[in-house]
Amino acid sequence: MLKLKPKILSLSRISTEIRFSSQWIKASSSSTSDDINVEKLFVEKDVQKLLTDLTEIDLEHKVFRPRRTSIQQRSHFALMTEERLEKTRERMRDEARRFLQFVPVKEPREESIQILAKDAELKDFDSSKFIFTDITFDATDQDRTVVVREPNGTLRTANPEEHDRMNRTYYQKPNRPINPPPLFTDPYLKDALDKNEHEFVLDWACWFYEPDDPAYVRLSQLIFDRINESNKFYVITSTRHFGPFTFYLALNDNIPKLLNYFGGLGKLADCANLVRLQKAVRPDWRVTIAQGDSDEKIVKDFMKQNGRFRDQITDLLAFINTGKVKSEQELEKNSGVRERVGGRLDNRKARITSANIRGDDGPLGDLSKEYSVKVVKSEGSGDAEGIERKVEGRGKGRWRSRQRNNDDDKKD
Amino acid sequence: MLATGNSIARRLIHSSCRLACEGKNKEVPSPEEAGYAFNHVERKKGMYKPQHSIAEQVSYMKSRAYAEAYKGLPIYRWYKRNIKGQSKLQPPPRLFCIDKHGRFNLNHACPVCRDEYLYFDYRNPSLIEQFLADGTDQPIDILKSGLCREQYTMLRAQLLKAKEHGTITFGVEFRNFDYRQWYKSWLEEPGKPVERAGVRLQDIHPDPLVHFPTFKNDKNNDWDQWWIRHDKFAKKAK
Repeated sequence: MLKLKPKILSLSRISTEIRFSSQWIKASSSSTSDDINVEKLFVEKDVQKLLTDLTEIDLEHKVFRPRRTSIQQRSHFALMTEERLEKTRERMRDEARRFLQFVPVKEPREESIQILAKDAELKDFDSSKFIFTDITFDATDQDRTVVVREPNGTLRTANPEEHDRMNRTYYQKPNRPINPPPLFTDPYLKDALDKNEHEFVLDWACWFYEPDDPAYVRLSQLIFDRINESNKFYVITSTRHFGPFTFYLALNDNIPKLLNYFGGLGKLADCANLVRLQKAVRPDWRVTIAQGDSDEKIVKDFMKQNGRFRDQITDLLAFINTGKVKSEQELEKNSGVRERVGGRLDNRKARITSANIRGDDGPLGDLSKEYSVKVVKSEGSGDAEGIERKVEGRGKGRWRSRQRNNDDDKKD
Repeated sequence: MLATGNSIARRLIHSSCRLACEGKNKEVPSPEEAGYAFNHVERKKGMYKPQHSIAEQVSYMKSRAYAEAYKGLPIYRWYKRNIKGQSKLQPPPRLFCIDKHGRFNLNHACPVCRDEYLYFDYRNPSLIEQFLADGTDQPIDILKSGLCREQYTMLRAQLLKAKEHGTITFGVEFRNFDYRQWYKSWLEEPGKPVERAGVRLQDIHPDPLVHFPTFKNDKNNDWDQWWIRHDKFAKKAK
């Protein structure tokens, strides 16, 4: 065993070799630089800072949203002063920041093995492989010795897949079965993503696989691509996967959709940060960013120089031109439709006319089916405000009589 | 014996006919027109539990017949085991309600066995979710659920399957990464490890320290006086 260790150490996780093409950069993206060291780039200080700034912290709906846990918990209620509440919120935010630690972005590991011995006399000793695992107390998951005796008599070190599988076999953890669950393959993966369970799938994948597992890299990229295709950025914001996701998009020169999403929410600072990130990740990029540029200028420069994305960033354009976020614009659009249909001028004040007073749009709303509305025009005023309504319904005798009295008063 | 064999054969023919008639793409009729909650097998009179597909089960659980039978409550809430005495002292749950011949073994079958459309399946998570303890991904106690052992085992198996197929989601354990292990150039210490459901309000909002005096039971009563006097007299006696 002791002799084996130095040999196997070369398999350790931190193996930095010069790779000519990264798995994180797609061939389709318009890149010419093949010598980007993705891992090194990811841990650079400014990149980490930009990614952290881009990841918002949504305590209630994302980080601490109710999940099914293995233990039952009671809800707690506490009476606090304003000051105390603010302090508590700040501590919750600190806690949330730990939950938002990014999953490491790693290149898929090497699938190399070492042949330790070839014993021809052991050939065909059995029809299956024998795996020997070191389960002594001080061996960690990373440096555990696992060797395989092949049916042809060769003794070799285990490849990483076998290594991880032996870890899962001997050191079981909850929700880490020996074989990958069917959720990670397509019919079920698609069903889960249709239900917006992206975070659940990614969380489980990073719990199940090592970050440098080729299967993990493939799966996370698949999910990231699907999020980008379907514009479902809200499912992954404020999670620990948003950083790697944004980094992946920036690496592949694929940010306009995300930019549009931020623009639609009116987050100009995030847009600028995203452009800065793209610049930091791709220094050969044409856009130049000066040190003291404001957020707006950065975004405008980006739009000026990337005219080809013009139809992809409509929300951002609208925000910069009119200063209105997407939801406001949609509201306006809807109200515009209503104006055309109902002839309504002021959407803040609902106008009651003789046409709609009996319907659902009138003052009674849904109750209009239950109560009949009688319209009485008072004598004194002939304008639109003078329309009075009389409501007749079941069991409202007092109200009706009071109304009648008022009418009488006016007549007097 | 002969009669049962005969009836089993007839039942098999019946079900195989049904399977053959039913194409894969055949539309499931709405529960009202299919006549749910009614046994079509005339001669059996509830002796056998009919077999239904999962699509039928799902549409049954959305039907009016189901809503009127269970009134929106979990199905085990409408079940009371027929026992004498306290529920704490009840006998262990029965092994099965339906025996190997497909007949009901007892009169008062468990809440899942007794409903002809219901059986646990990972494709219908709403039935499994009824048997989960609030806020957790664990099934409730078997005696609380009133299930037979067979159905309870099925519940656990299908729950696991539902989790692995993603039909029931849960909070996956949070994995704390030590970046130094993954990146050579990273030197920072990792923060304190965190876990899901590990954040307690006590830690974030500690209760103010209030001093409660310890309750002294032996004061101002006869015993108190007795010992005081005892000390006195005992000293005197010495």
